[in-house]
Amino acid sequence: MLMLLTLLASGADLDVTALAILPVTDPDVPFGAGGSLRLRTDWQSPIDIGFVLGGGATPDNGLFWARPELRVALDANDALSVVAGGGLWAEGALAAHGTLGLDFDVPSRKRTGLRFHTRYLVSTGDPTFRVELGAGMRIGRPVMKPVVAPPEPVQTPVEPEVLLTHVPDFPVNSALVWVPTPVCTWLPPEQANDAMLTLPSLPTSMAAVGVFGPAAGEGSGASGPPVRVEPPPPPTQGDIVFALNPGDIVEVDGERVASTNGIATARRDDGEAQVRITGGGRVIETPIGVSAGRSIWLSVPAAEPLRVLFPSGSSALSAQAREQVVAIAVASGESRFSIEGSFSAGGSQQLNLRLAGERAQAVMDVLFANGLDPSRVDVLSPQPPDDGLDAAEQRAAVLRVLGDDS
Amino acid sequence: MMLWLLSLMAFAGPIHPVRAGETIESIALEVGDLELAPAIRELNGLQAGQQPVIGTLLELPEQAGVGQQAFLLSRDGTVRVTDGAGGSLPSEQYDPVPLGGQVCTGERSFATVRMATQCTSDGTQTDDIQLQPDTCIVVENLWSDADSRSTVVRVRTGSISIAENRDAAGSVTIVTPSGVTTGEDGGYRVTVEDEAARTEALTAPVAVQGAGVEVAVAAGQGARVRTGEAPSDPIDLLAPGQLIRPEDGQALQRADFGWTPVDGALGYRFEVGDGTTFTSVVFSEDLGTPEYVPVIMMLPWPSDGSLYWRVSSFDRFGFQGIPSDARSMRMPTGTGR
Repeated sequence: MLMLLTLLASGADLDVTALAILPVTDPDVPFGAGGSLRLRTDWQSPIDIGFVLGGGATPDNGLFWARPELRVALDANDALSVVAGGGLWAEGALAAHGTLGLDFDVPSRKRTGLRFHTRYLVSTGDPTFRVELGAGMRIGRPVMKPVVAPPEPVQTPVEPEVLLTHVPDFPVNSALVWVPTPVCTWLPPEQANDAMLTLPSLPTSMAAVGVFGPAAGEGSGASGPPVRVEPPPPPTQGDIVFALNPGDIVEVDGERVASTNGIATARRDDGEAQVRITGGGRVIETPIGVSAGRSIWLSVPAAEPLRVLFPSGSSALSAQAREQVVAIAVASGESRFSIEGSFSAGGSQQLNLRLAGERAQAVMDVLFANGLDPSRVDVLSPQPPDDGLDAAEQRAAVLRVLGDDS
Repeated sequence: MMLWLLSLMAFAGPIHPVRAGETIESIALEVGDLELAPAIRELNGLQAGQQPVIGTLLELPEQAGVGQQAFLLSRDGTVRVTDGAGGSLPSEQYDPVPLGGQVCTGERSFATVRMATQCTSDGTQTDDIQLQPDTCIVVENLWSDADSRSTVVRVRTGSISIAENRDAAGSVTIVTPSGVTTGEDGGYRVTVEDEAARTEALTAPVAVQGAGVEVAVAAGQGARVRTGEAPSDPIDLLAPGQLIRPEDGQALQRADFGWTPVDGALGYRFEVGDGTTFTSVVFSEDLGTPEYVPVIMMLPWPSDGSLYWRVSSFDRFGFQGIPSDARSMRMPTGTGR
């Protein structure tokens, strides 16, 4: 026992091995393959499991014969161990076997050593199946690579930056800081620093706080001195959301703003933005005050129907009326229109209807000559004049903006 | 840590509004010691054996409590903070409001002030008071200890609402030129009117006191107290209508809001808040019809991507009814933060 302990103390590696070998060939040619399990005192890896190929010729003298053996094993640390060796097998009273072999581990650790083994054959009653129990000892201290310990976390001085995942935008100007349970009081920021370090876990949000501690994970204790929070810079721009009518085009500071489904959004610097909306034959020009950090919703008023007036009995456009129609064409945006000629009461119905048609045509001629595509105008049949209008207004061609086809 | 506990300022005690059925003795017992009764009397100029009138704001003797700090929880528009002497103080978000200090909101401006704060087993509890436009309040007294907290605020002009806070510990007392309203669980409004004050209890009962008389107002009721008179009998507040458009959670592309009309409503208040509890109101408009379709509407960017809107109705007595549930509205794509 003492010797054993001495051996252990000297760094020898003792082991106990169990091997089971089955013959893979003719039982008379005792080559076999099997498995092995080895328990060893090498605490780097106390167990390995392996595969054995061995054999040996039956001795003529029945006593000793050479027996080569190859054992390949893998231990828990994924180190491969190959034992190639052989020894003398003595059958007989002891049925013992000694092996001398080379034991080396590949690839990770440079370990070679001589291993001396003795084994005892356990009779299974089946001559073709061998079970061997053995004990062995490696001679020679294995040369092991030093285990590289995981690096210690480097203690760097805490930089004045906030490590919280949600940085509240608190200004750093509070006169007192609320320190929650268990301190539960208002303190000046300088004292609050230290008080917060005593908290079991740092608050993730606190109003009126000018200082904050770094969060070393949710609910964990404070580590490192509290740091000041700088609020994020306030926004310098604001948004305008335009609710447009079909065909309206909007420009902000001279730049066209695209619209989707009648909604256009623009972001501008705080201050005044010049807005120009054309469409439906009308122009809206107005400055809009943009406020940083705010949005303005602007519902653009629909274009009123445009009434082009004609003299009595005539479908000729006056110069003024012509200018009006040109302006409509220019300010038509992408609108689609309907046009309906009209007439004042009195006179032949047939003549009036024809006059109404001519008036509509006169307007259309000027519109199309000034860029309006004919596909954008639907011609409506003239209707009886509107009693609510006076005669001068009834002698007109009326343009109305059409809505979405949907 | 013990050092900080020891450094708790022994604050002047809370201000206690005298409730119906209370006596100096009962109040002293509540504070913890019947022996305090003479001290309470002395502190409040009462003769031996004299009992205070209902609605009196009693000063209680100094007790160990937590020094308190009111501060601006949120602000929008013109907000002015002044100290007790009228000196101007900073009025940005999270700036403190000292005891005796005043907070005033300007036209179309809102502010929320966080009042007494207390540590409880459920976490930190606070009482928040939200100021409507053109409102001035004075922070009279804040106090808390381990078991209770109290807030006393004087409203000089305008309208405030006290956030709902159902815990067993807080009480908020509002003092107006006409009377006193006090509630334990928040969830009520007080508005200063011409020679009167109007109280609406929304989610919890409150007590309204005037001229030495106390009236219990249940949740969903309102009462008015005229200067020098006892409070009126409470009346039921108008229930809200159903919100129609836009749908909850829609991106706000057009300023077009509609709700069902309410029987008996003479008008509606449309409100937008930054947060579902409307502790922070950012917009408010009074309307005569159950819709709001403005040509121009400006709203601040929400802190979390959504604003919330709700509507309450005004009845013929001038009480503002119970607000509807809030609907959320997102900012349209490409706008906001």
